[in-house]
Amino acid sequence: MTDSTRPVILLVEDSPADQELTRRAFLDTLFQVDLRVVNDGEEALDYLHRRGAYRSSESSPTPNLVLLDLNLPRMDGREVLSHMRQEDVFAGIPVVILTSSDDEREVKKGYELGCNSYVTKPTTFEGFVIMIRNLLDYWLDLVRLPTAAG
Amino acid sequence: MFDKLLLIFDVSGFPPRWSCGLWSSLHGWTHIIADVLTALAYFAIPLTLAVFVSKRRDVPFSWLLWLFCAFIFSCGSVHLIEATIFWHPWYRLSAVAKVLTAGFSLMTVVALIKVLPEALKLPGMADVNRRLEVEVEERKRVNQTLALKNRELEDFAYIVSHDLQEPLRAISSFSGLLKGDLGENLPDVARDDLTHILNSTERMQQMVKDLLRLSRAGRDELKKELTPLQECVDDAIGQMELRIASSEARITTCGLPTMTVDRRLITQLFQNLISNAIKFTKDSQRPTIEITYDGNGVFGVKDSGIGIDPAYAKTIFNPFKRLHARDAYEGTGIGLSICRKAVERHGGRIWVESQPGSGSHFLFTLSPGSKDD
Repeated sequence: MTDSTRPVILLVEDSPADQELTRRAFLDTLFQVDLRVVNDGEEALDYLHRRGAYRSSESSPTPNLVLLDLNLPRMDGREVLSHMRQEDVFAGIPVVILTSSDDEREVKKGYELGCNSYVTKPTTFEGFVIMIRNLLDYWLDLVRLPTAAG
Repeated sequence: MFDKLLLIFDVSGFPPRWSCGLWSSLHGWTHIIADVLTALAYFAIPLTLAVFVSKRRDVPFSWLLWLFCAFIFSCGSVHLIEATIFWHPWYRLSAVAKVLTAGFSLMTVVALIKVLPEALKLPGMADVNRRLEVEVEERKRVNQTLALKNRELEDFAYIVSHDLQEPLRAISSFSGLLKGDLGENLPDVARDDLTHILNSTERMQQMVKDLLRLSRAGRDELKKELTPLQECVDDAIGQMELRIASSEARITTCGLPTMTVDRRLITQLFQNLISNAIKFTKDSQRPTIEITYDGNGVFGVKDSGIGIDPAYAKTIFNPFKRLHARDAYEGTGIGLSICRKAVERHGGRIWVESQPGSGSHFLFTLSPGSKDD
């Protein structure tokens, strides 16, 4: 069941530890969000296109924000981003790359592919909480985005 | 004995050759001139050979060439004596010279026959060239393989250090969360244990980060551009503004040239050297740092710090090499490795001149190809 009043955040992350840290960080921020988690790039596209296990709109509400890891099994985050930016229907969904890498080339590549922000994962839980709070403040409260399709 | 030896110079019983037979001038002088010229040539040939053999130690069968020298020289002597016999009939000396020549000739022949099978096995120039070409190709291949292996090693260091971040983050974060989750129920001893885990993880995170920095200094593509090196120093100082201000460090620079370098890497080089200079100066002292260029390719960063035992002058450039306890001076010991990597990628080298208590003088060169003026 989904709560249509809560913003939907899609976390594309393969590491169970990072998934759990992000969940805990969301709880700590006290933001009321509907956090959805998928484990790899293909699952992310299934979710976005409502295919396979995500056929119903209930199981795959359109996200207000995507937190995308880069290094994922099967299909990596760059391919997911590239695919999203080729589809008009996903054009208004902000994508934040959330990764361990602060390699200059990765940052450049991320923005070339059309990410809205590139964030390096903090090394501590406190850092995670601050990062999530800042992201939610900015993308859910501050900025104005086009009305989501679907 | 000596008297008997002198007998060979005795000319009694023989007339000079001019007086023996009906020599016309033309006939006699033809013999004389031909013998003298032959003698001169026979003296010059062994002399040249001797110079060659003594300078080229790698000549095969050099002893045979010395035998040739003796043989040709004795031939020359025979011809010279023959020429002089027209006036001075020392036929006894001539006989001795001819016997010696015969001896050397026979020895040379025997030696030649003995050496021939081995000499035939010697490779010719074309063969040597072919072998050299094969060897050069082989070396090229080995160098390429080495470069590839180095690259793979750097990639490996990068990937490992990159991938280590995630589990480290998990250990660090969940240890912190566990501490919070247990709250008051956490016994003191367990709290201490968790603190140790957190501190160690933090240190390892720093090491992994530093390893990544080192790996990047070695593998990131160089963007070389014409750069006044003073700007690199200014950038480095700018990035350390607070630290320099709080330590009240006095930094002077003198006559830095403009060179074609990767600005980011050279800035990092100066930054690490300045940072080290400040770090390793006693708190009670005001750090002074002189950055110099000697006009002859050598740069220097000289400080007033605690100095380094010369025994460690080389190893301090190895990754994670520390000379002091962690609680005395912070850091993982990667800075100088990055300096060495930055300098080596610009075709130069780095070294240190220092004595404990007398400050350190880090010196480095950059490839002359990098220099612009």
